[in-house]
Amino acid sequence: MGSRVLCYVGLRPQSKQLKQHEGVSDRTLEIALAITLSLILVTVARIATGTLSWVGLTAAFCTLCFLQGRILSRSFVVQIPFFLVCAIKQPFLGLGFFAIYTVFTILAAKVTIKRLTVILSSELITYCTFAILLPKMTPELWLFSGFAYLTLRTLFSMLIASRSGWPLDVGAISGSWAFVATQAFVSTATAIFYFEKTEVTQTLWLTLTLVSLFWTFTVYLYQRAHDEFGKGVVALSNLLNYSHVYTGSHSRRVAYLARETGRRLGIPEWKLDYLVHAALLHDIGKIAVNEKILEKPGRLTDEEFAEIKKHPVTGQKIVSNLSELKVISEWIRHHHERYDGTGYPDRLDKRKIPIESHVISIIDAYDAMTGHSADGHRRLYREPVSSEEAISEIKRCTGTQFDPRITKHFIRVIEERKGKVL
Amino acid sequence: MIALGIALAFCLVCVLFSLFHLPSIRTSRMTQIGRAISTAVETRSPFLDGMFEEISDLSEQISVEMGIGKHDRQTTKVAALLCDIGLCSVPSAILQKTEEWTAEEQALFDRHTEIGASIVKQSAILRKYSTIVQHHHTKYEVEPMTPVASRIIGVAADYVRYKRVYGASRAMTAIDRQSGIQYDPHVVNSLKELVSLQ
Repeated sequence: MGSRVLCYVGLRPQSKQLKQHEGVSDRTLEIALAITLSLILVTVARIATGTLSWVGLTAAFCTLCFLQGRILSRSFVVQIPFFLVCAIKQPFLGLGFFAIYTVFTILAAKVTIKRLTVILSSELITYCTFAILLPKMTPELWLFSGFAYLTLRTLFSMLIASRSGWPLDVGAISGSWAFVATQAFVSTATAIFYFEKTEVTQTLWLTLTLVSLFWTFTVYLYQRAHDEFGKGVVALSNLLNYSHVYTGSHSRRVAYLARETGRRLGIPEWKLDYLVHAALLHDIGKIAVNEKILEKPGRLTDEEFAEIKKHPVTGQKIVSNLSELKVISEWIRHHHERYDGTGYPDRLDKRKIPIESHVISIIDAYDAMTGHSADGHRRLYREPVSSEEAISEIKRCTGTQFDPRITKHFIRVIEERKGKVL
Repeated sequence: MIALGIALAFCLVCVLFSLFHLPSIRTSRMTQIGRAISTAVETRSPFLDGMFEEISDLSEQISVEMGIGKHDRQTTKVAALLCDIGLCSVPSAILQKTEEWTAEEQALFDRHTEIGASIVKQSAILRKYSTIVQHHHTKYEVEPMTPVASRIIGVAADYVRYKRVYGASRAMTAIDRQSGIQYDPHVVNSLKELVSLQ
């Protein structure tokens, strides 16, 4: 048997939610599940064949490489990411491929189609399974194509390929990252058993296909449910738009910067989602404040200020209805606390304030000062200042109002973003 | 064979998860979102405090009384939480006013169903409730074919509001007087039975 090329074109479902508020993603969970599943599958494969083969190990390594690259590349809104899975019998050659593969997964976000074609046309990857992931695809279409593909591939390989001995197996994978990762594993394993010509190939192939089919479906449904919740949160945060003028784009900008700053602070990806939700909802308590006070141009009286001061507590009350976001209601309560302990409502200081509240407080202040917005509404009570002035003001207040640990990271985020439009 | 067995067990777990666990997660999340939204609207005026939760419970009880299916009952319950979402763009000065409203203020208030429907339409997951929200104060004699959920919510909302102001018995009389004009008589009858049981 000469060459066997397994070629897969994958289409990635477009997440509308990403656009809405810069990506609340549950990829982390998916990836964790995919890793677990791949490891289980490898173990099963090894038990079934009774061999501790190099190839068996390399398959697992491959999947892990991909996932690692995925985590490393971090930027989830990539244009044309792709990955390469190798099924090579010679371990050393195989390891060489893994090295190449890992590099490319890390670079995933930056590879263009041109370079991709060069790689694909080279003879080196004769025994490879590779996939191209394209953005812009609706989940329904993705699910449909996924099922159609799986059915066709099953029929093809059971009825035609196995009898005629054709070495070629071309197909398409579409789906979320976890699905493609699993599929990549499945095809790798298939190729391995094909090369090793073991007896269990057919059964195992069937098993793997079956598992990936059900797995995909469950992940799809889970993801949809998760997206729904995210959309609900967005709907809740949008409520403010209807009672006051400015706040909608404000909380979206805060959410965006919160994600960036949180990443710099080393907050894990799954926690970042909570931070983004908190940033979106941090001012929701203002819905209870009389709009006349918020839109008043001059100085506020003491009573008016006291009413505004209630909004973190009201926000906490509203958000505590969402049992999954219990943790963020605390952060919302404390987003007007100051580092020196003179803030409201609880006068907490320093380390007693949750770090996420600190993050939101700094970004809130920055955005309130710069106050630029796409929809033409500015904060009405103050003239907006430039980004540099706002930064120097934040620097001045570091240690009294803001936490120095966070300010330096936030300033770096702003400096990096200079020139780009939010 | 062992592998196949494990795989089948896995598939079974997947199916059970998506058939039984996921739908319940989704309904509870939907209810939570509804509660959060209704709490947000309630904070705009002391008169509204805890009102939507009460309306939602009463609507659910009425729909049980009327023998409505489980799925529609769930819809009614969530829609009742969302029904007055439009109040968030009614000025809080009007909502917090203790005296009688002027005609102008009344007109502003009456627009809340329309505004509410347009707000609900903006969100992909709430869009299905938009008709119910829009018609929950529509007169029965003008448009008898509004969704049953909005007819139920219309009765429940007014009953709860009257009960807060005038007390239970006078509220029931007021609702009964408008039966067939403002309210669907079937819904009013179910409410009567419910009240007499309590």
